[in-house]
Amino acid sequence: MVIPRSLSTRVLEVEAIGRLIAALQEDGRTVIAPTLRDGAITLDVIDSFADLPVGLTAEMAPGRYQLVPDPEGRLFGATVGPASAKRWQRPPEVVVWSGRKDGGMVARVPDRSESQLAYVGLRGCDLAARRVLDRAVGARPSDAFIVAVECTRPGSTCFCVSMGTGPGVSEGADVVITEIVEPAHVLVTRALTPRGATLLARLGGAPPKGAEEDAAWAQVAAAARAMSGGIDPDAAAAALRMPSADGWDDVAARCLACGNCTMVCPTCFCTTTVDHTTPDGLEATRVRLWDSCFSLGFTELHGKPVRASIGSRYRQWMSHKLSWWWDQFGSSGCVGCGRCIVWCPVGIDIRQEAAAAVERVGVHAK
Amino acid sequence: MVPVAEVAVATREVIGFHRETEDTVTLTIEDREARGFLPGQFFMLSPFGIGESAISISGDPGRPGAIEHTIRSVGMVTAALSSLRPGDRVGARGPYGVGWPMEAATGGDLVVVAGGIGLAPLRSVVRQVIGARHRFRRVAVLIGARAPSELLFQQEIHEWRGRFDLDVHVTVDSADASWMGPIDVVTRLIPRMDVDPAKSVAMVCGPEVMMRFAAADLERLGISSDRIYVSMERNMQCAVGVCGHCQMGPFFICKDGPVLPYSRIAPYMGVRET
Ligand SMILES: Cc1cc2nc3c(=O)[nH]c(=O)nc-3n(C[C@H](O)[C@H](O)[C@H](O)COP(=O)(O)OP(=O)(O)OC[C@H]3O[C@@H](n4cnc5c(N)ncnc54)[C@H](O)[C@@H]3O)c2cc1C
Ligand code: SF4
Ligand code: SF4
Ligand code: FES
Repeated sequence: MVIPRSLSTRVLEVEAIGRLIAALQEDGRTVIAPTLRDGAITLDVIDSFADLPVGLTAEMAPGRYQLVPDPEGRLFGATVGPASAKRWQRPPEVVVWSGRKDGGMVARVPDRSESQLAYVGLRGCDLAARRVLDRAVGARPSDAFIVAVECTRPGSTCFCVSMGTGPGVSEGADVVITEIVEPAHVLVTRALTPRGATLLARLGGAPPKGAEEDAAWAQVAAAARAMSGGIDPDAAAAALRMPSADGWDDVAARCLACGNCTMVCPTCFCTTTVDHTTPDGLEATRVRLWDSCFSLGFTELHGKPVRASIGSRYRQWMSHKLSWWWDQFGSSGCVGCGRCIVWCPVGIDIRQEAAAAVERVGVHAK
Repeated sequence: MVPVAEVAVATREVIGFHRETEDTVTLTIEDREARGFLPGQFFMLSPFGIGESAISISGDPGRPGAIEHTIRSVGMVTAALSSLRPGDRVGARGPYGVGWPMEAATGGDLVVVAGGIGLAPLRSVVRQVIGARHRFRRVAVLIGARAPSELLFQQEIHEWRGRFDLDVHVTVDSADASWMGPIDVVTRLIPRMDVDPAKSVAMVCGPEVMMRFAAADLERLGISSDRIYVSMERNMQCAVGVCGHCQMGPFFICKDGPVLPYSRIAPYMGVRET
């Protein structure tokens, strides 16, 4: 359905976000947005405007995350933090069933509770990640309401442009905000869906005058132009298609196999199944937990792991993300969010490791 | 609170138990739904509260109402499964996976090569062949075990050997003087069988190294690698392609396999730690 532009675009003052949050809550939704937790700006449940990290942003580099004041006082100054929507889309712990030995097992199907959420502040890479993750686990998209934010100041670890997922947003959200500070600090806001337009109508605001909309567009375009490097998806997919036992010693010497990269990655979907049983063995609960292909027990077979060396585990992770994902699900498994780079304690950079793999097999970018 | 829908998880009754060897048993589990299965497919079995394991179907696909599983006790889950007796219940979901290519094998010669517990999913094949023997030409069954005492389905193999229309060979890795058969690895039996390689399909299941050697020998004999099938084993948690554990290159062994043409999986089997 095409929404008339006059209805779908509004210029809102910054404080309108408070009304937006309240409107979503009035509709019965729990709002998830960037907020300050444990020294990082991350996605979590918020109550009101006051929970947004106004005037704070983060500097990110390989293995490095630093909160800094945002001189421009923006609401959405920081790009992506350690948590992604995966935490609600495919939660870290889910009860599969519980029951008694004599009474049978009862499955609990809590899923799609995500449909009662509203996300505020997801980025282009986040939206792409949601599609990629749903596709990988065979889930239908939930009914979560999504207010996305376009990026005008990507970080040094962002490479959405090379993966084709950002910094602008054209699908996968109900409402898209571009926060600009010039010519004035406002939120240029447009609806992509009918329910997005309905929400915008409740917030008031003025139709765009032209200058703000042009500035928003220009700043996102400039951000895209300024983003350098990244991954050549075709070259990486080709280079990693056939596993090679050689060439992984260098990364293996640095990688701790901690699995941080897989936990923060918005598309990594691996899980394990554990039974919690009472000591008498009569009651049990089976849970499904996030797991990581970096853990030693992940491939255990006959008491031994198939992928014992760290090099083979890094190879598995990167080859799956950048190559085999195409065979399995028709897209890259990496959306270029850079989380794995920032939250790797030793700063391993998937962009560099992919380039090294491409170089090793001599498949060079066009 | 998030509302939860609750549905009962299927448990099934164990209706038969047979000890095969010191560490291996065959369970028969009722199958009222009788959804049918293909030789080579597997179930996920859960002894209550202990965990869950992938276990192949070892019985006859033609037998309605019951499914057989042959289980070697190697750890917590398989030990708990092995201790089940008729009347006990077990969590069971399945069947899962791609089975043996029975259709592709029809009308030609068939070679079955089994090592150890790998005979379990191939017993289903032999039983199906016997049930419709006219649909296949020559059929060779090569069986290897570590020792005579570890040979599964001994009575049944004895019956297979008594048939004029099955070419059955059994070997063990080591044995004392009471063993009358050959002492050698199972792949050494390959030259002994009487089949037409150009018209043969081969089905191989056993330890991964054994499958690689067997496939190489079968190729040398003239059976092309796309007509050699192997059943792969990987750690499995979900069996439906969403937990990631069983991945091997681009394949989810649980849903793209466990049976795969050797031509497709060989490049990955050949690389260490894949
Ligand atoms: C498709 C398929 C078919 C199989 N068919 C049979 C069969 O017919 N008969 C039979 O005896 N065995 C079969 N197996 C092997 C059987 O699943 C494992 O021996 C069993 O899961 C080991 O669990 P455990 O707790 O008893 O052993 P443990 O040694 O205690 O297991 C240790 C750890 O390794 C894990 N583990 C070890 N091997 C496997 C595995 N293959 N898959 C998943 N997790 C594993 C366990 O989950 C556990 O975490 C099959 C495996 C696969 C993948
Ligand atoms: S692999 Fe790294 S950059 Fe790519 S989507 Fe995952 S966390 Fe983001
Ligand atoms: S790449 Fe970094 S984050 Fe990932 S497992 Fe290795 S050390 Fe941990
Ligand atoms: S067993 Fe879970 S993906 Fe194959």
